[in-house]
Amino acid sequence: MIGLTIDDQAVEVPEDSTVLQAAERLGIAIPTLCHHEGLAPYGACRLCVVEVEQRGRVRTESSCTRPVEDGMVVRTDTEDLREIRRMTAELLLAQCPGAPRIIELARSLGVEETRFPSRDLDCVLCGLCTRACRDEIGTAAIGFAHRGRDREVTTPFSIQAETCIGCGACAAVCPTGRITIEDRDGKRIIRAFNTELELAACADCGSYFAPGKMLEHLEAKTDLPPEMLTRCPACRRRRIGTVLREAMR
Amino acid sequence: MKRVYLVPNRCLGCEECIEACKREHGFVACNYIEWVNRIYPVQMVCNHCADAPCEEICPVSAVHRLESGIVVLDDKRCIGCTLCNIVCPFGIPKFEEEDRRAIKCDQCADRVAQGKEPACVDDCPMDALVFAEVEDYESEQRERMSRRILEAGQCLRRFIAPKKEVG
Repeated sequence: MIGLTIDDQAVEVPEDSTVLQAAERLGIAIPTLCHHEGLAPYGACRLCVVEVEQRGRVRTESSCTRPVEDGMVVRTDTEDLREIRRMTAELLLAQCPGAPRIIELARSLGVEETRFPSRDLDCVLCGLCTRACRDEIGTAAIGFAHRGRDREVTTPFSIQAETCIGCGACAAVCPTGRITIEDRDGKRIIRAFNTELELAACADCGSYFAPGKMLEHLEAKTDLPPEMLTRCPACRRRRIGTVLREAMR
Repeated sequence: MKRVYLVPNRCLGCEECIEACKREHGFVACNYIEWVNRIYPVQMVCNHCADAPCEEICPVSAVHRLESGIVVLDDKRCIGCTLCNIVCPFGIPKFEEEDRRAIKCDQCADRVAQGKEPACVDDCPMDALVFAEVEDYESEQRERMSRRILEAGQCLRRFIAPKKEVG
Protein backbone atom coordinates (compact mmCIF):
# COMPACT_ATOMS: atom_id res chain seq x y z
CA MET A 1 0.00 0.00 0.00
CA ILE A 2 1.15 3.56 -0.75
CA GLY A 3 0.57 6.47 1.63
CA LEU A 4 0.01 10.01 0.36
CA THR A 5 -1.67 13.23 1.41
CA ILE A 6 -4.40 14.95 -0.58
CA ASP A 7 -5.70 18.35 0.58
CA ASP A 8 -4.17 17.71 4.01
CA GLN A 9 -5.89 14.36 4.34
CA ALA A 10 -3.88 11.14 4.56
CA VAL A 11 -4.91 8.14 2.50
CA GLU A 12 -3.57 4.68 1.74
CA VAL A 13 -4.15 3.09 -1.63
CA PRO A 14 -2.94 0.02 -3.54
CA GLU A 15 0.34 0.41 -5.42
CA ASP A 16 -1.06 0.68 -8.94
CA SER A 17 -3.56 3.44 -8.12
CA THR A 18 -3.70 6.86 -9.67
CA VAL A 19 -3.94 10.13 -7.78
CA LEU A 20 -7.51 10.48 -9.07
CA GLN A 21 -8.45 7.11 -7.57
CA ALA A 22 -6.83 8.08 -4.27
CA ALA A 23 -8.84 11.33 -4.23
CA GLU A 24 -12.03 9.38 -4.96
CA ARG A 25 -11.32 7.21 -1.96
CA LEU A 26 -11.27 10.31 0.20
CA GLY A 27 -14.46 11.55 -1.39
CA ILE A 28 -12.67 14.49 -3.01
CA ALA A 29 -14.29 15.41 -6.31
CA ILE A 30 -12.02 16.43 -9.17
CA PRO A 31 -13.58 17.53 -12.47
CA THR A 32 -12.98 15.20 -15.41
CA LEU A 33 -14.13 14.83 -18.99
CA CYS A 34 -12.01 12.24 -20.77
CA HIS A 35 -11.94 9.92 -17.77
CA HIS A 36 -14.05 6.76 -17.66
CA GLU A 37 -13.82 3.99 -15.07
CA GLY A 38 -14.01 1.28 -17.69
CA LEU A 39 -11.32 2.74 -19.94
CA ALA A 40 -7.60 3.27 -19.55
CA PRO A 41 -6.74 6.86 -18.54
CA TYR A 42 -5.67 9.20 -21.31
CA GLY A 43 -4.98 12.60 -19.78
CA ALA A 44 -6.37 14.48 -22.77
CA CYS A 45 -8.77 17.02 -21.30
CA ARG A 46 -6.51 18.46 -18.56
CA LEU A 47 -9.44 19.20 -16.27
CA CYS A 48 -8.32 16.79 -13.57
CA VAL A 49 -4.98 18.61 -13.05
CA VAL A 50 -3.65 18.71 -9.50
CA GLU A 51 -0.53 20.08 -7.84
CA VAL A 52 1.89 17.35 -6.85
CA GLU A 53 4.65 18.20 -4.41
CA GLN A 54 7.63 15.88 -4.22
CA ARG A 55 11.15 16.54 -3.02
CA GLY A 56 10.47 20.25 -2.75
CA ARG A 57 9.18 20.66 -6.31
CA VAL A 58 5.58 21.33 -7.22
CA ARG A 59 4.32 20.13 -10.58
CA THR A 60 0.90 20.42 -12.14
CA GLU A 61 -0.15 17.06 -13.52
CA SER A 62 -3.31 15.25 -14.65
CA SER A 63 -4.45 13.17 -11.69
CA CYS A 64 -6.02 10.47 -13.87
CA THR A 65 -2.67 9.42 -15.32
CA ARG A 66 -0.43 10.11 -12.34
CA PRO A 67 0.56 6.98 -10.41
CA VAL A 68 0.70 7.39 -6.64
CA GLU A 69 4.05 7.47 -4.86
CA ASP A 70 4.80 7.20 -1.18
CA GLY A 71 4.89 10.52 0.62
CA MET A 72 3.34 12.58 -2.20
CA VAL A 73 1.58 15.76 -1.19
CA VAL A 74 -1.29 16.66 -3.50
CA ARG A 75 -3.52 19.71 -3.71
CA THR A 76 -6.68 19.54 -5.78
CA ASP A 77 -8.23 22.97 -5.32
CA THR A 78 -5.77 25.89 -5.36
CA GLU A 79 -6.42 29.22 -7.05
CA ASP A 80 -3.92 28.33 -9.78
CA LEU A 81 -5.69 25.04 -10.49
CA ARG A 82 -9.05 26.76 -10.65
CA GLU A 83 -7.57 29.22 -13.13
CA ILE A 84 -6.21 26.38 -15.28
CA ARG A 85 -9.53 24.55 -15.23
CA ARG A 86 -11.43 27.70 -16.18
CA MET A 87 -9.08 28.31 -19.09
CA THR A 88 -9.47 24.68 -20.19
CA ALA A 89 -13.23 25.11 -20.03
CA GLU A 90 -13.00 28.22 -22.19
CA LEU A 91 -10.97 26.32 -24.77
CA LEU A 92 -13.47 23.46 -24.71
CA LEU A 93 -16.33 25.91 -25.18
CA ALA A 94 -14.59 27.43 -28.14
CA GLN A 95 -14.15 23.98 -29.65
CA CYS A 96 -17.72 22.80 -29.10
CA PRO A 97 -19.96 25.73 -28.14
CA GLY A 98 -23.12 23.78 -28.89
CA ALA A 99 -22.56 20.65 -26.83
CA PRO A 100 -24.83 20.62 -23.75
CA ARG A 101 -22.42 18.66 -21.60
CA ILE A 102 -19.55 20.98 -22.42
CA ILE A 103 -21.69 23.99 -21.58
CA GLU A 104 -22.75 22.35 -18.33
CA LEU A 105 -19.18 21.44 -17.44
CA ALA A 106 -17.98 24.97 -18.12
CA ARG A 107 -20.82 26.39 -16.06
CA SER A 108 -19.92 24.16 -13.14
CA LEU A 109 -16.45 25.70 -13.22
CA GLY A 110 -17.87 29.22 -13.36
CA VAL A 111 -17.34 29.72 -17.08
CA GLU A 112 -20.25 31.16 -19.07
CA GLU A 113 -18.46 32.39 -22.15
CA THR A 114 -15.16 32.06 -23.93
CA ARG A 115 -12.73 34.68 -25.15
CA PHE A 116 -11.53 32.42 -27.94
CA PRO A 117 -12.98 32.45 -31.45
CA SER A 118 -15.41 29.61 -31.83
CA ARG A 119 -14.36 26.66 -33.97
CA ASP A 120 -17.90 25.38 -33.70
CA LEU A 121 -17.01 21.72 -34.03
CA ASP A 122 -18.65 18.73 -32.44
CA CYS A 123 -15.66 16.81 -31.11
CA VAL A 124 -13.30 17.65 -28.26
CA LEU A 125 -10.84 14.84 -29.10
CA CYS A 126 -11.26 13.32 -25.64
CA GLY A 127 -10.50 9.87 -27.06
CA LEU A 128 -13.28 8.10 -25.15
CA CYS A 129 -14.73 6.58 -28.32
CA THR A 130 -11.35 5.52 -29.73
CA ARG A 131 -10.26 3.96 -26.48
CA ALA A 132 -13.54 2.08 -26.14
CA CYS A 133 -13.38 0.79 -29.69
CA ARG A 134 -9.72 -0.09 -29.91
CA ASP A 135 -8.85 -1.18 -26.37
CA GLU A 136 -12.09 -2.67 -25.13
CA ILE A 137 -14.19 -3.90 -28.01
CA GLY A 138 -10.98 -4.66 -29.86
CA THR A 139 -12.22 -3.82 -33.30
CA ALA A 140 -10.45 -0.47 -33.65
CA ALA A 141 -12.96 0.69 -36.24
CA ILE A 142 -12.25 4.32 -35.34
CA GLY A 143 -9.15 6.22 -34.33
CA PHE A 144 -7.43 9.57 -34.43
CA ALA A 145 -6.28 10.86 -37.81
CA HIS A 146 -3.98 13.83 -38.61
CA ARG A 147 -2.47 16.21 -36.09
CA GLY A 148 -2.86 19.73 -34.76
CA ARG A 149 -5.88 21.66 -35.99
CA ASP A 150 -6.84 18.90 -38.41
CA ARG A 151 -6.91 16.13 -35.82
CA GLU A 152 -10.16 14.25 -35.94
CA VAL A 153 -11.73 10.95 -34.98
CA THR A 154 -12.63 8.88 -37.99
CA THR A 155 -12.53 5.50 -39.65
CA PRO A 156 -9.79 4.38 -42.04
CA PHE A 157 -10.22 6.59 -45.17
CA SER A 158 -13.40 7.99 -43.58
CA ILE A 159 -15.53 5.23 -45.02
CA GLN A 160 -17.37 2.52 -43.12
CA ALA A 161 -14.87 0.43 -41.18
CA GLU A 162 -14.71 -3.25 -42.06
CA THR A 163 -14.35 -4.22 -38.43
CA CYS A 164 -17.20 -2.17 -36.94
CA ILE A 165 -19.74 -4.40 -35.23
CA GLY A 166 -22.20 -1.60 -34.49
CA CYS A 167 -22.10 -2.02 -30.71
CA GLY A 168 -22.60 1.69 -30.12
CA ALA A 169 -20.10 2.05 -27.30
CA CYS A 170 -18.68 5.05 -29.17
CA ALA A 171 -22.06 6.78 -29.01
CA ALA A 172 -22.60 5.82 -25.39
CA VAL A 173 -19.35 7.37 -24.17
CA CYS A 174 -19.26 10.44 -26.42
CA PRO A 175 -19.64 13.60 -24.27
CA THR A 176 -20.57 16.03 -27.05
CA GLY A 177 -23.30 14.10 -28.78
CA ARG A 178 -21.42 13.99 -32.07
CA ILE A 179 -21.77 10.22 -32.32
CA THR A 180 -25.33 9.00 -32.65
CA ILE A 181 -26.88 5.63 -33.28
CA GLU A 182 -30.11 5.26 -35.15
CA ASP A 183 -31.86 1.99 -35.87
CA ARG A 184 -34.10 2.55 -38.88
CA ASP A 185 -35.53 0.34 -41.59
CA GLY A 186 -33.51 -2.69 -40.62
CA LYS A 187 -30.23 -0.80 -40.49
CA ARG A 188 -28.06 0.65 -37.73
CA ILE A 189 -26.76 4.05 -38.80
CA ILE A 190 -23.76 5.69 -37.16
CA ARG A 191 -23.75 8.88 -39.15
CA ALA A 192 -20.54 10.32 -37.72
CA PHE A 193 -18.57 7.45 -39.23
CA ASN A 194 -20.50 6.93 -42.47
CA THR A 195 -21.54 3.57 -41.16
CA GLU A 196 -24.65 1.60 -42.03
CA LEU A 197 -24.94 -1.94 -40.77
CA GLU A 198 -27.62 -4.49 -41.51
CA LEU A 199 -29.61 -5.45 -38.44
CA ALA A 200 -30.44 -9.10 -37.91
CA ALA A 201 -34.10 -10.02 -37.56
CA CYS A 202 -35.25 -12.25 -34.70
CA ALA A 203 -36.03 -15.77 -35.92
CA ASP A 204 -39.16 -15.83 -33.73
CA CYS A 205 -40.75 -12.40 -33.92
CA GLY A 206 -38.95 -10.82 -36.84
CA SER A 207 -38.02 -7.61 -35.06
CA TYR A 208 -34.57 -6.16 -35.65
CA PHE A 209 -32.46 -6.45 -32.53
CA ALA A 210 -28.73 -6.39 -33.24
CA PRO A 211 -26.35 -5.85 -36.16
CA GLY A 212 -25.54 -9.06 -38.01
CA LYS A 213 -21.85 -8.27 -37.65
CA MET A 214 -22.21 -8.09 -33.88
CA LEU A 215 -23.80 -11.54 -33.80
CA GLU A 216 -20.99 -12.94 -35.97
CA HIS A 217 -18.46 -11.33 -33.62
CA LEU A 218 -20.18 -12.93 -30.62
CA GLU A 219 -20.54 -16.31 -32.25
CA ALA A 220 -16.79 -16.35 -32.78
CA LYS A 221 -16.05 -15.17 -29.24
CA THR A 222 -18.45 -17.33 -27.23
CA ASP A 223 -19.76 -20.87 -27.25
CA LEU A 224 -23.40 -19.86 -27.18
CA PRO A 225 -25.71 -21.91 -29.40
CA PRO A 226 -26.51 -20.16 -32.71
CA GLU A 227 -30.26 -20.81 -32.15
CA MET A 228 -30.05 -18.56 -29.14
CA LEU A 229 -28.13 -15.79 -30.85
CA THR A 230 -30.74 -15.52 -33.58
CA ARG A 231 -33.49 -14.69 -31.09
CA CYS A 232 -34.05 -11.24 -29.67
CA PRO A 233 -33.85 -10.81 -25.86
CA ALA A 234 -37.62 -10.42 -25.59
CA CYS A 235 -38.22 -13.76 -27.33
CA ARG A 236 -35.58 -15.40 -25.18
CA ARG A 237 -37.48 -14.20 -22.13
CA ARG A 238 -40.70 -15.42 -23.65
CA ARG A 239 -39.29 -18.90 -24.22
CA ILE A 240 -37.77 -19.13 -20.75
CA GLY A 241 -40.99 -17.82 -19.22
CA THR A 242 -42.86 -20.66 -20.88
CA VAL A 243 -40.40 -23.20 -19.51
CA LEU A 244 -40.69 -21.69 -16.01
CA ARG A 245 -44.45 -21.78 -16.19
CA GLU A 246 -44.39 -25.43 -17.25
CA ALA A 247 -42.09 -26.24 -14.34
CA MET A 248 -44.57 -24.71 -11.94
CA ARG A 249 -47.53 -26.85 -12.93
CA MET B 1 -27.16 -19.09 -2.55
CA LYS B 2 -30.55 -17.54 -2.01
CA ARG B 3 -32.63 -16.81 -5.06
CA VAL B 4 -35.93 -15.12 -5.78
CA TYR B 5 -38.58 -17.75 -6.46
CA LEU B 6 -42.17 -17.40 -7.58
CA VAL B 7 -44.87 -19.24 -5.64
CA PRO B 8 -47.17 -20.69 -8.26
CA ASN B 9 -50.79 -19.51 -8.44
CA ARG B 10 -50.22 -16.59 -6.09
CA CYS B 11 -49.11 -14.15 -8.72
CA LEU B 12 -51.92 -11.87 -9.91
CA GLY B 13 -49.80 -10.11 -12.48
CA CYS B 14 -50.22 -6.78 -10.66
CA GLU B 15 -46.59 -5.93 -11.56
CA GLU B 16 -45.99 -4.35 -8.16
CA CYS B 17 -42.63 -6.14 -8.14
CA ILE B 18 -41.66 -4.09 -11.20
CA GLU B 19 -42.70 -0.89 -9.45
CA ALA B 20 -40.81 -1.94 -6.31
CA CYS B 21 -37.70 -2.50 -8.39
CA LYS B 22 -38.11 0.90 -10.04
CA ARG B 23 -38.42 2.56 -6.64
CA GLU B 24 -35.33 0.79 -5.42
CA HIS B 25 -33.13 1.47 -8.43
CA GLY B 26 -34.48 4.79 -9.59
CA PHE B 27 -36.86 4.74 -12.58
CA VAL B 28 -35.67 1.64 -14.38
CA ALA B 29 -36.64 -1.81 -13.16
CA CYS B 30 -34.25 -4.75 -13.59
CA ASN B 31 -36.97 -7.36 -13.54
CA TYR B 32 -39.63 -8.40 -16.02
CA ILE B 33 -43.04 -9.99 -16.01
CA GLU B 34 -43.42 -12.45 -18.81
CA TRP B 35 -47.07 -13.15 -19.67
CA VAL B 36 -46.89 -16.78 -20.76
CA ASN B 37 -49.61 -17.56 -23.31
CA ARG B 38 -50.78 -14.04 -22.52
CA ILE B 39 -52.46 -15.17 -19.30
CA TYR B 40 -49.91 -16.56 -16.84
CA PRO B 41 -47.60 -13.97 -15.28
CA VAL B 42 -44.08 -15.14 -14.48
CA GLN B 43 -41.53 -12.82 -12.91
CA MET B 44 -38.06 -13.00 -14.41
CA VAL B 45 -34.88 -11.73 -12.87
CA CYS B 46 -31.20 -12.30 -13.43
CA ASN B 47 -30.21 -15.90 -12.78
CA HIS B 48 -26.77 -14.99 -11.48
CA CYS B 49 -25.30 -17.74 -13.63
CA ALA B 50 -22.27 -19.64 -12.43
CA ASP B 51 -20.59 -19.32 -15.83
CA ALA B 52 -22.20 -16.02 -16.70
CA PRO B 53 -21.90 -15.18 -20.40
CA CYS B 54 -22.26 -11.50 -19.54
CA GLU B 55 -19.22 -11.64 -17.29
CA GLU B 56 -17.25 -13.43 -19.98
CA ILE B 57 -18.12 -11.04 -22.78
CA CYS B 58 -17.92 -7.70 -20.99
CA PRO B 59 -14.98 -5.92 -22.62
CA VAL B 60 -14.34 -3.66 -19.62
CA SER B 61 -14.83 -6.27 -16.88
CA ALA B 62 -17.79 -4.38 -15.49
CA VAL B 63 -19.55 -7.65 -14.65
CA HIS B 64 -18.20 -9.70 -11.82
CA ARG B 65 -19.43 -12.75 -9.93
CA LEU B 66 -18.94 -12.29 -6.21
CA GLU B 67 -18.07 -15.06 -3.79
CA SER B 68 -21.64 -15.05 -2.58
CA GLY B 69 -22.68 -16.04 -6.08
CA ILE B 70 -24.33 -12.77 -7.07
CA VAL B 71 -23.32 -11.41 -10.45
CA VAL B 72 -22.95 -7.65 -10.09
CA LEU B 73 -22.60 -5.03 -12.76
CA ASP B 74 -20.57 -1.90 -12.02
CA ASP B 75 -22.36 0.68 -14.09
CA LYS B 76 -19.51 3.17 -13.65
CA ARG B 77 -17.30 0.91 -15.74
CA CYS B 78 -19.94 0.18 -18.34
CA ILE B 79 -19.25 1.67 -21.79
CA GLY B 80 -22.68 0.94 -23.22
CA CYS B 81 -21.66 -1.64 -25.83
CA THR B 82 -24.84 -3.75 -25.24
CA LEU B 83 -22.93 -7.03 -25.72
CA CYS B 84 -24.14 -8.36 -22.35
CA ASN B 85 -27.73 -7.94 -23.49
CA ILE B 86 -27.12 -9.89 -26.68
CA VAL B 87 -25.25 -12.77 -25.02
CA CYS B 88 -27.63 -13.27 -22.11
CA PRO B 89 -29.60 -16.47 -22.79
CA PHE B 90 -32.43 -15.03 -20.70
CA GLY B 91 -32.51 -11.56 -22.22
CA ILE B 92 -32.10 -9.84 -18.84
CA PRO B 93 -29.75 -6.82 -19.00
CA LYS B 94 -31.44 -3.52 -19.81
CA PHE B 95 -30.03 -0.17 -20.77
CA GLU B 96 -30.35 3.37 -19.52
CA GLU B 97 -32.18 5.57 -22.01
CA GLU B 98 -29.52 8.25 -22.18
CA ASP B 99 -26.11 6.67 -22.04
CA ARG B 100 -26.85 3.01 -22.75
CA ARG B 101 -25.26 1.87 -19.49
CA ALA B 102 -26.35 -1.62 -18.56
CA ILE B 103 -28.68 -2.30 -15.66
CA LYS B 104 -29.06 -5.69 -14.10
CA CYS B 105 -30.61 -7.26 -11.03
CA ASP B 106 -28.16 -7.44 -8.12
CA GLN B 107 -30.60 -9.10 -5.70
CA CYS B 108 -30.76 -5.73 -3.94
CA ALA B 109 -27.37 -6.38 -2.38
CA ASP B 110 -27.52 -3.26 -0.18
CA ARG B 111 -30.92 -4.23 1.23
CA VAL B 112 -29.79 -7.79 1.88
CA ALA B 113 -26.70 -6.48 3.67
CA GLN B 114 -29.09 -4.70 6.05
CA GLY B 115 -30.93 -7.94 6.71
CA LYS B 116 -33.83 -7.03 4.43
CA GLU B 117 -35.10 -8.91 1.40
CA PRO B 118 -34.96 -7.77 -2.22
CA ALA B 119 -37.48 -5.03 -2.97
CA CYS B 120 -39.61 -7.17 -5.29
CA VAL B 121 -39.97 -9.89 -2.64
CA ASP B 122 -40.79 -7.42 0.11
CA ASP B 123 -43.38 -5.43 -1.79
CA CYS B 124 -45.36 -8.24 -3.40
CA PRO B 125 -48.89 -7.85 -2.00
CA MET B 126 -49.62 -11.55 -2.51
CA ASP B 127 -46.37 -12.86 -0.99
CA ALA B 128 -45.89 -14.55 -4.34
CA LEU B 129 -42.14 -14.05 -4.28
CA VAL B 130 -39.81 -15.68 -1.79
CA PHE B 131 -36.12 -15.15 -1.22
CA ALA B 132 -34.73 -18.52 -0.19
CA GLU B 133 -32.23 -21.29 -0.73
CA VAL B 134 -33.56 -23.82 -3.23
CA GLU B 135 -33.87 -26.61 -0.61
CA ASP B 136 -35.92 -24.40 1.72
CA TYR B 137 -38.11 -23.22 -1.13
CA GLU B 138 -38.76 -26.77 -2.26
CA SER B 139 -39.64 -28.08 1.19
CA GLU B 140 -41.85 -25.06 1.87
CA GLN B 141 -43.64 -25.61 -1.42
CA ARG B 142 -44.26 -29.24 -0.65
CA GLU B 143 -45.55 -28.36 2.80
CA ARG B 144 -47.75 -25.61 1.42
CA MET B 145 -49.19 -27.86 -1.25
CA SER B 146 -49.94 -30.70 1.17
CA ARG B 147 -51.63 -28.31 3.55
CA ARG B 148 -53.72 -26.81 0.81
CA ILE B 149 -54.76 -30.21 -0.45
CA LEU B 150 -55.94 -31.09 3.05
CA GLU B 151 -57.71 -27.77 3.63
CA ALA B 152 -59.40 -27.91 0.27
CA GLY B 153 -60.90 -31.28 1.07
CA GLN B 154 -63.08 -32.12 -1.88
CA CYS B 155 -63.53 -28.51 -2.97
CA LEU B 156 -61.49 -27.44 -6.01
CA ARG B 157 -62.33 -23.76 -5.67
CA ARG B 158 -60.80 -23.66 -2.22
CA PHE B 159 -57.63 -25.17 -3.58
CA ILE B 160 -57.14 -22.53 -6.27
CA ALA B 161 -57.78 -19.50 -4.04
CA PRO B 162 -56.16 -20.11 -0.66
CA LYS B 163 -56.72 -17.86 2.35
CA LYS B 164 -53.83 -15.43 2.83
CA GLU B 165 -51.51 -16.66 5.56
CA VAL B 166 -51.53 -14.67 8.79
CA GLY B 167 -48.32 -13.65 10.57
